[in-house]
Amino acid sequence: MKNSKTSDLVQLSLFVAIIVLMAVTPFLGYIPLGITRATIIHVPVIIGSIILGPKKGGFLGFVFGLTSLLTNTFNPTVTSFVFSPFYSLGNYSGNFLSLVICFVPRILVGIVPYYVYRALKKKVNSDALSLTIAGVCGSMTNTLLVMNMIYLFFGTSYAAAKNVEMNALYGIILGVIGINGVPEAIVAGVLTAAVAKVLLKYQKRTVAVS
Amino acid sequence: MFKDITIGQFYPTDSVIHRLDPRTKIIFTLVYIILLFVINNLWGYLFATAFLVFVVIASKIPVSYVLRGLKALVFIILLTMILNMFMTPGTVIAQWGFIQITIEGLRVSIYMAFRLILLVAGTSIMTLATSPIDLTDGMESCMKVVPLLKRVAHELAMMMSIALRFIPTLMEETDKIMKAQKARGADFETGNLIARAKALIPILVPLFVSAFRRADELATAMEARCYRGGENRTRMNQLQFEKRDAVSFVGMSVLTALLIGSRYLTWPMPFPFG
Repeated sequence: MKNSKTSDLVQLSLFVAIIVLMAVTPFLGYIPLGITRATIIHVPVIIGSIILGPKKGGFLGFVFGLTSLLTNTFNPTVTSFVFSPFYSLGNYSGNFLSLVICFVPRILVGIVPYYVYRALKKKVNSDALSLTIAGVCGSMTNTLLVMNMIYLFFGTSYAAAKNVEMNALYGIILGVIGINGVPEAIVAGVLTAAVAKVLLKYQKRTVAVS
Repeated sequence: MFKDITIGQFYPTDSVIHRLDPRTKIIFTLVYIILLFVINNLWGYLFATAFLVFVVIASKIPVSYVLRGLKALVFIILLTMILNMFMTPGTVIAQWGFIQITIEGLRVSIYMAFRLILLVAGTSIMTLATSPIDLTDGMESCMKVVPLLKRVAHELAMMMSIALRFIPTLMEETDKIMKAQKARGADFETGNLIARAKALIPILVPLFVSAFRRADELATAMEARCYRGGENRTRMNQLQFEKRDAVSFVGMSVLTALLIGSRYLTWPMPFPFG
């Protein structure tokens, strides 16, 4: 009889390893789409949430937030001040709120898919469909929360970084959601369904054996 | 493709900094980061820079190594400096059309550049001079003092060590899986969104399944060696504070006093800061 505590710990660690691996290898972390690139770093968080449950999913989301904080601090892009408290732009500086943007939506990415999957599984008796929708929801949680929080907290400075007028800003944010968020959600849906289905089966089999 | 990963590299030498207790280094780095936000004039930044240069020399890490970490920052520092310089309102010192440079803008941009460089260089020194294993050990015993983290300190540290141990393995595995799928004619570089997402499935599924299998094997191996969490667990190498740690704590206090004191320093300063 295997002690479930140890194997839980080890499984969670391996998920952490996969998340960090994806965050640091450009090939695995992103799918280039011509003008922009869709990130798939949140996919292991979503899968972890469905397989390991909301608590551990939340922890994986926290790890995802941490990697994002580190890459935005040490390998920054133009809009990094949104995620890292160490950058300032004019009178607006990244600060405590950037930590909120960095962590809260990401932690939720690890929590939401689990409940979506559970709820859907009861209604429709199809793993593929409920997993896909859970993946899409997880990805959307990330995009929508991050972009809306950016608008709320950093509206003016984000506009300055992208060099646009304040009232055009929500349009841009909607654009980002459309151009980045929608493909990301589709990709997350496809990948979550494929990977989680196999893993759920694998998990069932090993539980039966041991 | 996996060669250019730089975060958290370790550069082994036998310097004093390397031999410091990891707890000292972690606490020192935290204090240092907080202090960087306390500084409010150029003297403070000069003190902090001098201190950092001293640590780099003492650590015997080649300067080029430390500077490599700053390369990624050059673009953003330039960009934010330019934006800050032109967009901060205040006393105008130069004007050309609608573009104007203000004293305040100059000051904000130079301070920010200083702060960023010191932050990134300072933290990379810590990871360059501390092996990952020492770092997790140090973090575990630092977390044991924090009330909220006390109970999970061991688990978190154990997870960190396992994750760190398996990142290179999984990386190799990914490489192998990709080559194997390519040999079977898989195409990762063309096609529309859905096609590309589908192309990732034959990489991710084996990767996750093998990670799960490894987790099972590792858990069995740990159980077989009677692993049962952090309670009453003893270690082979106990962390121990030594004389050099005491010295560096004194140094830390001096630095803290200097940097906080520098806030009240009113010596004349070079042009844009006076």
